[in-house]
Amino acid sequence: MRELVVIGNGMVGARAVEEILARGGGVMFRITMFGDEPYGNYNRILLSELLARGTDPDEDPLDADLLLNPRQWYGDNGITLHAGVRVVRIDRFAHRVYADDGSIVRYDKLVLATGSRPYFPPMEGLWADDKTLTPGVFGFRTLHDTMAMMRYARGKQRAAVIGGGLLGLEAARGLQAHGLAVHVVHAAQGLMNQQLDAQAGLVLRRSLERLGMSVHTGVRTTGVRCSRDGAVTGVNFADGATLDVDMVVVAAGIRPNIGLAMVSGLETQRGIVVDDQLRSVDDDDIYAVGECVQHRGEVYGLVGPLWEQAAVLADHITGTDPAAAYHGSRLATKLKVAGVDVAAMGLKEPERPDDEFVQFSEPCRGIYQTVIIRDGVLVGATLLGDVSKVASLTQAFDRRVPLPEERIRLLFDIGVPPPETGVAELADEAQVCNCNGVSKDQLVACVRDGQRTVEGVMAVTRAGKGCGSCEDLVADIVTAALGEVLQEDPTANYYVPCIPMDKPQLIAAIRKRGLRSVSAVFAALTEDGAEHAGSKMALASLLKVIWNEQYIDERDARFINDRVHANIQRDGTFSVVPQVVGGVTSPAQLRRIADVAERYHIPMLKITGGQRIDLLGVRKEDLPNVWADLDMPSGYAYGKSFRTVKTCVGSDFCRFGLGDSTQLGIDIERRYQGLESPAKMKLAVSGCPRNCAESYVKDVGIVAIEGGRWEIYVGGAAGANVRKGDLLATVQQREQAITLTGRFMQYYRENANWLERSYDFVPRIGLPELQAILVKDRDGIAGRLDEAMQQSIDAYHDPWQEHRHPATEGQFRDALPLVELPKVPAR
Amino acid sequence: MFRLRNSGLRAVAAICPPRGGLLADGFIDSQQVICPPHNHAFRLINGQCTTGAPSVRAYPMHAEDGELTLRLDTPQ
Repeated sequence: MRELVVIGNGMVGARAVEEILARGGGVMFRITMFGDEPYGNYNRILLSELLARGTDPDEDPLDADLLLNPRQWYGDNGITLHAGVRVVRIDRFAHRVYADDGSIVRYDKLVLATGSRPYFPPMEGLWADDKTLTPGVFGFRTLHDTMAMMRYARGKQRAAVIGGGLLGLEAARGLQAHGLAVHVVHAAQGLMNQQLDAQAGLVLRRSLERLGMSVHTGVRTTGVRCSRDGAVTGVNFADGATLDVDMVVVAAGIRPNIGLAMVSGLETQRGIVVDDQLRSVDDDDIYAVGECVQHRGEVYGLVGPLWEQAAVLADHITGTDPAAAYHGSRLATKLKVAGVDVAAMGLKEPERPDDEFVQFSEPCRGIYQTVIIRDGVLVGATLLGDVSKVASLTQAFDRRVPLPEERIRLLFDIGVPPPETGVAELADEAQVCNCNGVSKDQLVACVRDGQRTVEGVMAVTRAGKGCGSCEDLVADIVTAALGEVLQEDPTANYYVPCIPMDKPQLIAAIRKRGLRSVSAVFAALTEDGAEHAGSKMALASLLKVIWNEQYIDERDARFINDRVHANIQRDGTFSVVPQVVGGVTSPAQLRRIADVAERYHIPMLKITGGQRIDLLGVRKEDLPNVWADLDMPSGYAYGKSFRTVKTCVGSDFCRFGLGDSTQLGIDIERRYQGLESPAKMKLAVSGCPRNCAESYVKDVGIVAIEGGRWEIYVGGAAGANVRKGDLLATVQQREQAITLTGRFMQYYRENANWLERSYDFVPRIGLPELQAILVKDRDGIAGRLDEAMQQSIDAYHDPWQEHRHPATEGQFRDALPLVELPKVPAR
Repeated sequence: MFRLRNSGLRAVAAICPPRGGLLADGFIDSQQVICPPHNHAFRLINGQCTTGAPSVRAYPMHAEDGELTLRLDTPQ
């Protein structure tokens, strides 16, 4: 076994080890950890809460809430922990670390997670000697600091907190809870100026003053005054003013602990400089993670980015994912600072002249909100006092989703019904999933029975497995019921649950190994080589997209609809929808359909929403004859595929038509008929912005506008979800419209998750990104997409030709020969 | 009746109890059959539903000298 040594037993050091163990690192490495502090690992973030709780400082504070990894955890996982021991030197050439208790440990891989320490600005009288603070002066970093502060605060009247940042305000609030009058002294003009602009700082200041704090801003502390016995009696300011206090807490920022790295010859600037794999740029065997790290010039102090770092480190050091890379984090944080809700992400102020800036201020209620938008993308937001919009803003910030044109809607619900009933208020018996009839109490019961993931609950109850529109609500209810024990299902990102790869990884593996059939994929890529019924349809679709005519078809990998090219109905009969391109038919077609309907006693003939005619209640064994007699191509109303192009009457007859939408729709449907895709694709072409063909709510919708031009919308929907499509481009030529439609669909085919409709896909990728790739060809892949689409078109065969030569014996044999079908009487 | 890819044989009742779907038209692998209309899954070996619906009846089945034998009288 190789030796792994971790220096630092704080939150990130221990988290990194947990991540390494989760990737089988316990078998690869013998793990040794060094920690300055004499305990297991505790949750530093909760120290402010501990302080504010006003716990009895003589009691053991290390309760289950605070303790993340008790001593026993280290033993259980075979980790040797040196708690309270400090490493003083690394001999990189001998691969050894030297500790201050005289121990020497050899390593193959070393992780530095040395964290940071409080920064003490130069002040007269701050230190009693070289190492000891004046009695009554405290930093606020460790459990020891916190306990000492609480002990000292007993019977004291007044405290000064130097530093009006996040930590300083937490300390101030905590000391207030111990009955002290607290003065916050901040050198800059605005409180929390790292996260907030000046206005926000002012609003926050008023809120804190209402809570009884005294706030001094723009004031530099130059000295600490002491009594004759050496204890603190007050502080002096640069302007000559003074303040009498009994204790002083210094929270003027933190500095990464880089001393060890520095003396050991590793590159350090503000932090230990690492590459995208979190390795020191000087030494491939030494990783560094957490607050002590400087990555691409950034040093992070919030827990989110540090968790991301720990995961990448673990992926790389264990070889689980040798290509794992950390690219830096976009900072978004939501906190309660001294009882005031604060959320901040990205920029705090506009930086460029054309940055859009929306600002709302209501100081009396302690509310201040801003959003900053650059090139249509949310690049910064601040919420103070009211953080009800933090979820949607975080989503817009992280995923760069399109923003409402009225920017103010980012902050306020204007003219819409009040927000939906919260999960907690929802009645137990309320039906949540209207497709599968699942109620709230059934979901909660499922959690009580032991399901620990949203996906697990959905699989067992079928909730959200119908139209999918209740998925978010289901997730909210399950999350609330789970409380702390929620586990993330790692399979959520997989293209199919039985293969641990997302779609791009899976496509790469399939191409690399030349896997041309579904059974070959199972044999090569699943853990046990076993087939998995629930994954077959998704894989069959993907393989067809990748290989086109080289795909090796296996009938058992097809859904029943794709085996018999018709849509199965509830009584076991099928519906047959012949292709009527662009919704334009003829007397001859209608006559043939009428004849077939009579000949085969079709119980219902129905005009569909896609401008076609549906023959419902066809028996399975009649399908080949029905197709032969219709002598029309398949309309593909049964597949996860390109379905239909709805059109209006366009320019030939309509008085308003601006373009020949009918012909364009016909051409698009002929060209892209029947193509497999992750979910169905419904299109429309309208001849003018009156939009009679409903182009704005289609997966791809085209609208003719004045000047002979065509607008192309993508990602629209009018089903379980209603969404207006986003304008991808406006083009001059109809040929461009046809090409761009195909290019978008090919990109969707290659990149969308299984069953992910375009109305989810487009916001996930983001409109600007799609425009850059598909319209501006930023990545130089437009030509390849067009070519791949052409190959799929060339490989197309009308499946209804199988009536001449059934693909398998019994392809159209009824599964229930003794039951009289159809069950539905003719209308 | 299902012929598995490893040439094993399985037999279950034809109709899915909750919604009346036709199991013969479902997806199978070596363990389970998935009913087409609503995606309920049943173990082929004992008919047990793994997605919270009532079970279907399963029947032992084997092949000998080109003859398929299926026992209908097995107690559940």
